[in-house]
Amino acid sequence: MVKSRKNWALIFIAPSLLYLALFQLYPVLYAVYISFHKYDLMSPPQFVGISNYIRLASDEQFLRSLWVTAFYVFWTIVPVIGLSFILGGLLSTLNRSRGVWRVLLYLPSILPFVSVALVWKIMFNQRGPINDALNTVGVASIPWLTNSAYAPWALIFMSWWHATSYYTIIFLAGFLTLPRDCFEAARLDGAGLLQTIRHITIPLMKPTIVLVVVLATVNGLKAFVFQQVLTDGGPANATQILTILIYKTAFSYLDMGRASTYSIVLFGGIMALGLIQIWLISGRRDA
Amino acid sequence: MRNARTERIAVFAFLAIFTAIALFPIVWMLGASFKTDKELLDGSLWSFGSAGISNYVKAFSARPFLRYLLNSLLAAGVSVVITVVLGVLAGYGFAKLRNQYTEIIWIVVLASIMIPIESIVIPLFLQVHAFGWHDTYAGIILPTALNAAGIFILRQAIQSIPNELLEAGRIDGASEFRILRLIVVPLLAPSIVVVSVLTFSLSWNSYLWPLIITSTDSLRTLPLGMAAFQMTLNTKYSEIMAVSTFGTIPMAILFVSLQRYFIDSAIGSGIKG
Repeated sequence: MVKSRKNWALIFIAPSLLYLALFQLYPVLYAVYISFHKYDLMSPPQFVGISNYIRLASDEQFLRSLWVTAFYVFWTIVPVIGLSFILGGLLSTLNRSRGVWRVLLYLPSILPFVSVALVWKIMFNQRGPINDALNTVGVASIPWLTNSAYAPWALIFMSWWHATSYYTIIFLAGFLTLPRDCFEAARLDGAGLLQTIRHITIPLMKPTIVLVVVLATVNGLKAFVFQQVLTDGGPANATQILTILIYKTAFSYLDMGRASTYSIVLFGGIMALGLIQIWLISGRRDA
Repeated sequence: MRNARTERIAVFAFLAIFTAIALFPIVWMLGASFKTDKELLDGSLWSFGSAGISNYVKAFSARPFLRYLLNSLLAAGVSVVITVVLGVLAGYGFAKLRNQYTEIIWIVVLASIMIPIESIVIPLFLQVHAFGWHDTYAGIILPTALNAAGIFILRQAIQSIPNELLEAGRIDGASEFRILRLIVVPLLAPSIVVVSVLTFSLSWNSYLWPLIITSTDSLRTLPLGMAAFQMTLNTKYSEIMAVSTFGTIPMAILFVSLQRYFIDSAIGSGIKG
């Protein structure tokens, strides 16, 4: 009986396991393998040891891209997390109208990414509505997407709009699980709003805050569509985040070895964050 | 009392401002799709366009957007079916038939949730070439079809089903497969919808992988078709806004009909990243 149940378990799990092994785990190992080779798709892979990794330290394109990525991720997550926290918190204080606000604020998240990218690309146009708005307050038009000083910020502003919507919903879900009596007790003790937020809300919300920080960082690292559609990494590589660099190195310059090395760096970064995330989730589910 | 009231008004005002910001680009996109390019760039935000549906007509005659739509629907549909079927099976195995092997395999699932497609596109590309799947539906759809986060969500849902229900079935001599089909699956309906919505949205937004693996225009999914249309010479901004709006329609329909599940899937995808 128990023996047959064990067999059932493997029968049920086998299709998923095979699928994930074939299209997720094996490719990771394969990527590591390629990263030790020089490979241009034409001639067979040539083993080069760890030289692809050694070259990273002096690879200016890669270092620039790392910096661009870090800049993008940092400026994307910091304001977004603050704003979503506030919006989620405010929504949780409402009763009847909460559902309506939640739906409206969530709408940016249902737009396909490419639609979002195309709308913003045109809004950032030299004669588009964003420059129109600046002109009406007396600021000269800004060449948002064609000047390397502004393009990174254009993408960051756009990500604020897009990401806030999603993390607000996550924060709201977190706020709604908080025990009400804590706040009641704080109010009776005469605690002010800021005191309550600092000493009660933030400690209680810590798991959600960390979750959103990890999520937002991972999503920032994985960004591709916005950069590809709006600027294709330009101007002058100013928005060439790691994913764009990987894509171009592999499929424009056909340098599979180096592109795989970049991929392993990206993979390592995301896995490290993922481990933190899993640790948090398993902690929360068991609690 | 007056204090509470001012507070409420302030909260509403704050929310109203940010809601307006959230909605502006969407409304602008919709409006622009009915304007001429001249009207779109003349700085008049709130005027109605005079282009009627001509932007849509021109975009559809320039490129096979219906075909792109069908390709995207096919990809999303297959992904949903594969994720739900394999996910329910595996979720049941992981949740209710645990043993030392399943515990080890569970780590594989967790690892798969974290592995970003962006970091494995090169080996996947070579692999799919070796299968002879380059530039085919199989190559576009199958490698990314199984959403490992779906397995996770379904396992959590199955875990909350009481064991007594399953034991009752076992005593009656039902096979594990019958128990799954007749007892577990009917109880899972809400989670299955959440996983479907999540998987559909992921597939609908999938861009990098189809971009790498397709070269034939008629195999392109909607996001690729939209992006390619945008890069075509002489394409008008207003036409681009027309196809952006068009690409949003299926998601909007899904959102209106399955709103609650959408929000749940957003929260559930917190584990996907």
